[in-house]
Amino acid sequence: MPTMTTDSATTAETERLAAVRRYDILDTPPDGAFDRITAAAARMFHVPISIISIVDADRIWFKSHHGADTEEVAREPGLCASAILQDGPWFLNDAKTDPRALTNPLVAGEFGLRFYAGVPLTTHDGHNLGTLCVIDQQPREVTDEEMATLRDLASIVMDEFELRLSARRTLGLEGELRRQAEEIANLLQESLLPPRLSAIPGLEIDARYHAVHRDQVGGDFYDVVPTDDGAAIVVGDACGKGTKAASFMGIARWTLRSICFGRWTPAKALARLNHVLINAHETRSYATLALASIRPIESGGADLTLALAGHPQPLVIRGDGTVEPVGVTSSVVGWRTGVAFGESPVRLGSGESMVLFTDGVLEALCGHASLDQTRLEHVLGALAGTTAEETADALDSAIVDGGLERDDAAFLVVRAR
Amino acid sequence: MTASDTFSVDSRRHGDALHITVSGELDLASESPLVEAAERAMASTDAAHVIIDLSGLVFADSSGLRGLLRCQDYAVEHSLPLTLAVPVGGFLDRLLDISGVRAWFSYE
Repeated sequence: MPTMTTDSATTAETERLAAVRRYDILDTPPDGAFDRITAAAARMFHVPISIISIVDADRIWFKSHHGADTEEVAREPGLCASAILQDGPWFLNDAKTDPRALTNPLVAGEFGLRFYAGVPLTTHDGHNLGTLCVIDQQPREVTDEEMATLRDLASIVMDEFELRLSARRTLGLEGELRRQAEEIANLLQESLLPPRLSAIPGLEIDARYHAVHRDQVGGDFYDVVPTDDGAAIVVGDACGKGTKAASFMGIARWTLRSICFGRWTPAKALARLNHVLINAHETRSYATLALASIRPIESGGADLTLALAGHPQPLVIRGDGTVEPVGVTSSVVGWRTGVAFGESPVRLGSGESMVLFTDGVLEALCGHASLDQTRLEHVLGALAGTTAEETADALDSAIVDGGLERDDAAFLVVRAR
Repeated sequence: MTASDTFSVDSRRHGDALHITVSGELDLASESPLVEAAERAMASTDAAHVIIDLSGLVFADSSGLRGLLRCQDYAVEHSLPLTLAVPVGGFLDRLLDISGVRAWFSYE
């Protein structure tokens, strides 16, 4: 039987210590709220010392120690260690004459403790973490009223512990949620953009994406789809941000991949895509696209057919360094049924490039609230005759160096051999 | 997300028209506030037509344009003729051109 008692006592103490750990209070910095409680307790009892103690495995640590310089004592002589073994208040009116404490070093020794009244700090699941106690070097009586007040103050201390614990947990949860959101956004972004652009014979192609917000996908996208006679190239921008824009963009991208084959034209593809987007999505939204079919010419150069759905005109970099906006504007896709889309021919000479881009690129170069293409035209004009990769690198640098990025930016460079 | 401090939408009756005045930046954050305010105003008006005054706009992006399209949809559903007052040559003017949706609205 004694063995069982010891075992159950040990288990209870193990659980109690686990509760102490859970509240994460030990060795935390001093805290005004708790210091005000001990000051009030000391004042009310007319004693010099009041302490909020936490009983650890082998020490008693003081969260607040009004009137005393010590921050902790060993568990053994600590009177709080005895106080936590009961459920109610524990007090010594005159420790020098009380058999429970008269041999205690704090009583018999230099400190000369005579009066102690402590109320356990009890968690909602019944563990005594420590005490709120008042101490004097003179003997003292206590009234029921005083003990009732001390009990109330002890409840307030417990409430403060609970509040801090739940605040810490909430912060921890928020941090975790934010990390998860970032991870999801990055995964989404990666899966929605082609990991590696298809190589198309007769063409050099390079594309770049500048994601500005780490925890939110933008709606910008690009794609290169090999076709029988060359490729379909597209740069697009779904309205808005976040998962809604990303899913809209994903539908656009994959629908185009399934449309751009056989006897397709960009205008027909946009009409088909328009129909799909209007019917596929719950919430109404739209996207802008620059979509081109590109057919390399055996002897050099390429023929393109270009359609613009509400998208900025792509820029062709001619061999002599002139920069030419190309394409005729049709409306955005995804909003209104039965819209007609136009298309126009573009011819690239051997070594000439075309750059398709989203308005984020314009903003990055010219600042917020700008659809001004002159700066971009100026940057590209200096890149005549460079490879698609060199052009992309230079435009990348211009975007980053500008330091004005506010929204996602994407661009694609295609150069005819 | 909250709309920027500069965004405001205000509605009042002038003669037989409901004037909805929009100022500041019209973007993703202010799109829903615009649509909610405009729909509320249109739902409870007995005006013969609606004018959305955008002369105080300093910026509009695709989300802002989408907000205006949504207001347009609501007006059409409720048989309320709607016109936009758009400063010529301004940001919204250029955005309407590039987006190819100029013809989808009527103008003051």
